[in-house]
Amino acid sequence: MHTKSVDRANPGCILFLVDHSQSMTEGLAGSSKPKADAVASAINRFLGELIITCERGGDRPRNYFDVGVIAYTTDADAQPLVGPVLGKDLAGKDLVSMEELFENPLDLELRQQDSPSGTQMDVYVPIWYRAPSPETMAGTPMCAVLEYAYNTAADWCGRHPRSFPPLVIHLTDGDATDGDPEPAAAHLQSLATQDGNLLLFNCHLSDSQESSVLFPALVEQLADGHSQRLFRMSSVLPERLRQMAVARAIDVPPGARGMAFNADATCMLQLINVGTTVATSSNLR
Amino acid sequence: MAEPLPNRAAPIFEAAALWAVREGNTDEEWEDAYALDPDRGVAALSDGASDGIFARAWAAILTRRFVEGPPDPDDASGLAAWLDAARTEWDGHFDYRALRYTQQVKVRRTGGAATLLALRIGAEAPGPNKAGAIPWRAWAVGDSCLFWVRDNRLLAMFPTLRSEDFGPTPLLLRTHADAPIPAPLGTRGDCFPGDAFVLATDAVAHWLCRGCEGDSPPDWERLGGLREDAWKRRIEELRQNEQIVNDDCTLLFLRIQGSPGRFAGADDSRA
Repeated sequence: MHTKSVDRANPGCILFLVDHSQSMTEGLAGSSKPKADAVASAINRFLGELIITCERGGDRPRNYFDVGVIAYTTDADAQPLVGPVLGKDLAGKDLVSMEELFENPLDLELRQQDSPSGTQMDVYVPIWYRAPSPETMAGTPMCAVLEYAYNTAADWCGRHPRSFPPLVIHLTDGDATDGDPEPAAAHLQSLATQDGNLLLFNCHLSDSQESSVLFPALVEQLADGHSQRLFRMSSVLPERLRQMAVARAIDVPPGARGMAFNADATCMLQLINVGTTVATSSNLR
Repeated sequence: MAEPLPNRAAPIFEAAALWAVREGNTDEEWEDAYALDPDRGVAALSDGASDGIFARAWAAILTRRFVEGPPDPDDASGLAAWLDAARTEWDGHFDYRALRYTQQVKVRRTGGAATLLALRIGAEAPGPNKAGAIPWRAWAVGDSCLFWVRDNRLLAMFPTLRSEDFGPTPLLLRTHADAPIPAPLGTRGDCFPGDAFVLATDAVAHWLCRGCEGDSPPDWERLGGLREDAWKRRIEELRQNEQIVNDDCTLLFLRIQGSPGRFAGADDSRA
């Protein structure tokens, strides 16, 4: 299980679930950068890297993956607002292909990169997702987004039964405001392809500088009910992914859960990095 | 340094090549490559690695250049010079400035990478030969494999010896000038007319290797006689049954020609 390589006949699926609650406007881990902006930076960086990975020298990047970004908050009546947030021609699509992603950035931002000769050169880096405006950010309907993800991933699994199962990365800073999310998380994780069950990774973003917990293997490593619930909601890292992470010098003990608690930006990126080792070049065909 | 091999009047081997592109890709995206010179007894097979860019071009450059002017893989500096020339050719395969940003990053970061399996038959004698024997030598970087077959039975395989030794990260020759060059593994032997050499990229080689370890070893003669459409159907069946990974599948079947006496005292072919 969880051993299948990714190819175009059997693509992978990576789905981000992003908390748009009011508290995501606060600084991440004691910094001045809002958590929502840090999440947007991480997702844009990941999507850009994914396109580079899918470049093989053809006219377009290869469609090795379907990716999506689903956000959740509540409206003025405290009703859940859940849906995809990639923009422009990707608007309204829960999952998009690499070609669609490549062709539809929201914008291009100017950055400086090293050139082959070692000098700095200006390059335009694509942006696909921006943090929402604070006035649209309210509650945390976590159960609703997990059920939404279930429907999206169930449809995908039905169309790709031989693929590596979907990876869902949930980025949040709080507790659910619409009930106990554990049953919804278990329901989501019950989805499977022939290669194993869907993987759900949860990242709890911190607004303080408390120490982070990354990839815990034992629930006793976590101090309170909130973090222990997140532990139970998170998938055990498949051994192959764990070994690939270890090969990249990331400390992931056997039995570790795909989870971060009190995460800062580095911790969040590490969780995404390990979760998406399935998208590393050596795993593509 | 690269050195041309002498021409012969008649082919040393007859060759059949079978290939099937991985499911989901077009034929133009087949990223294995081979090159053959039956008259000179030289064959090369390469598997363009999936973590690279322009891998098909790199695999084709390596195999063609090996057949046109094989280096001495035992001479590290000669091999490095040969590889430098191949890298220069790969650099000229595309216009870096015309590539889109994401392609440029991939070229800078990863470049191309490929395995290389090369075989020279009759080209150099490994010491005193048995009467009528034909010397052969093979070199390999990575997990493309050679199977030496006589009377439809496997005599030896190279360089991977067990199915469990196939893995996701084989050694590769890379296009980056500063990438280390893995030392090629080498082997040699004496073959006879009628012997066959089967060269295969890793997915096929792994399947063949598992067959050799089990109760139903491959029917090599039948494999060598397959037509292209039958080969592609067979690979599709194996993929559907999860008996082979979805990868480019290439197999070269080389049959040694001639009478045994033809190669006796084959000093003229010494490289």
